[in-house]
Amino acid sequence: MSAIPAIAAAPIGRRVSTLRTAAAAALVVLAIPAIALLSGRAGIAPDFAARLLPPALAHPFGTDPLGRDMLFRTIKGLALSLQVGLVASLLSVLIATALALLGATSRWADEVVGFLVETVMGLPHIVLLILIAFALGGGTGAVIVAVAVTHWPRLTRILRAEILQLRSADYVRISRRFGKSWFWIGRRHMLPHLLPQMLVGLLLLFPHAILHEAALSFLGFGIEPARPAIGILLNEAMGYLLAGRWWLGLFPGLCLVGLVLCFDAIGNGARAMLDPRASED
Amino acid sequence: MLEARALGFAHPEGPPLFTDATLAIAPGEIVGLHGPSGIGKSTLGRLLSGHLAPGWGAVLLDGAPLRMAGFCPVQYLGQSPMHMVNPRWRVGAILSEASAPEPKTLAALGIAEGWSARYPHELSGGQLQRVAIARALAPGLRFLVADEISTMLDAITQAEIWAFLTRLAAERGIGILAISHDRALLEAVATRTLEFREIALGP
Repeated sequence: MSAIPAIAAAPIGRRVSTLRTAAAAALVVLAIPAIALLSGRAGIAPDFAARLLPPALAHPFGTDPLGRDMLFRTIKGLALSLQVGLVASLLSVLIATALALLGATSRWADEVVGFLVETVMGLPHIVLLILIAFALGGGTGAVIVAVAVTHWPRLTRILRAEILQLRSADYVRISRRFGKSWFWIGRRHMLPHLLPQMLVGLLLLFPHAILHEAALSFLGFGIEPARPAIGILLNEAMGYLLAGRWWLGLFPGLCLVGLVLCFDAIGNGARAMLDPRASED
Repeated sequence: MLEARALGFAHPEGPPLFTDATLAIAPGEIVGLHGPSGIGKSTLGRLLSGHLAPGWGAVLLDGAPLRMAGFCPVQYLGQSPMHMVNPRWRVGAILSEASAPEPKTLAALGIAEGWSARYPHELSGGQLQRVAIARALAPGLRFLVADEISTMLDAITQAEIWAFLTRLAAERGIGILAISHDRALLEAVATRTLEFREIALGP
């Protein structure tokens, strides 16, 4: 007797699986600062009896030349990256929104904003970042400013396009003929449409901000060497790689990539949730 | 008196749609404007209500150019009410955007109290069109441009809406420009009907 083929389980919708992945990624992201806060001085206090230990049960990521646990150093580094990323991304979104709104006020302002967007987009990112961070004298504040003032152009373009579309929408024209000011229309009619774009923009900016913060710190233009930033950890690991201490660089690097992928997943989830056109996927 | 004097309009970098549209609507009068699809009737309606700026000519209200500040005495109603309202606003907010609607008007248009908390996509096209009409009926209103407002509606809703607008014209002296490609409808509701080709495109 031939076997009856099993009926396949109903496939989970793409949207549902995207949202599940996003929720899991959000949990990971929220766990990082929690662990960093609760772990006290683990990964900061040196322990000279445990220098340069390879990964083992007691120290899953190994220890560094001062005997500090690399797992906690990595988590604290990621938490610092999140802080810098959050402030820098928020600033970037504010700049993008302000410029997009400014561009909507007149043709002349629109051309100036367009010119700024193209100029910043045309310059190599990392060069601009280094120049700004260097000019500001390095440190956490300088990194935040450098990342914030280099990451707004893409979102500015998206918001500008959205505003142009809203401005010619019938309900906005009607509101104008009801005698409402552009300020009133911007607040009541446009903002509810722009907020989701700003939120998704913020989430998608995060990974860029984190990666560039790490790059700046790695190159020595960023966060103070005494703080456990991922870029600093990677920089310190450089000197030991040829000596066979591979764990110093591998785990922080992998975790950084993991964090970036988490934000990608959250950004995709947010887009799936906020875009009604994606609801059928 | 609402007048279009030698009005013309061209889309940017396009040929002129029309260059010489002239018409006049008196208070309390329902004037039909007939013409085939795509000829420029809606554009003319939008020029008259200040939604678009004319390329040539002028829109005059009692002999003076139409004011662009404050509540415009000429309001535009479009074919698709879904586009006329912000999809993220509740019906209650939409209704009171220009001014608080009179209960009498709401009752006459059959707008139920319970709609206030709903979003536009939770109403039918006919219900939403009635909301759009009620919203335009602010105290300063003097003329309405009704651009194919009943094309997408069933016959009963269509009849109800036009009965209401006819009463509005008679009781409040609101002048209405009814734009449609449906000659029979215009003959039923309008006091006189103009042919777009004749008033806008010249001999």
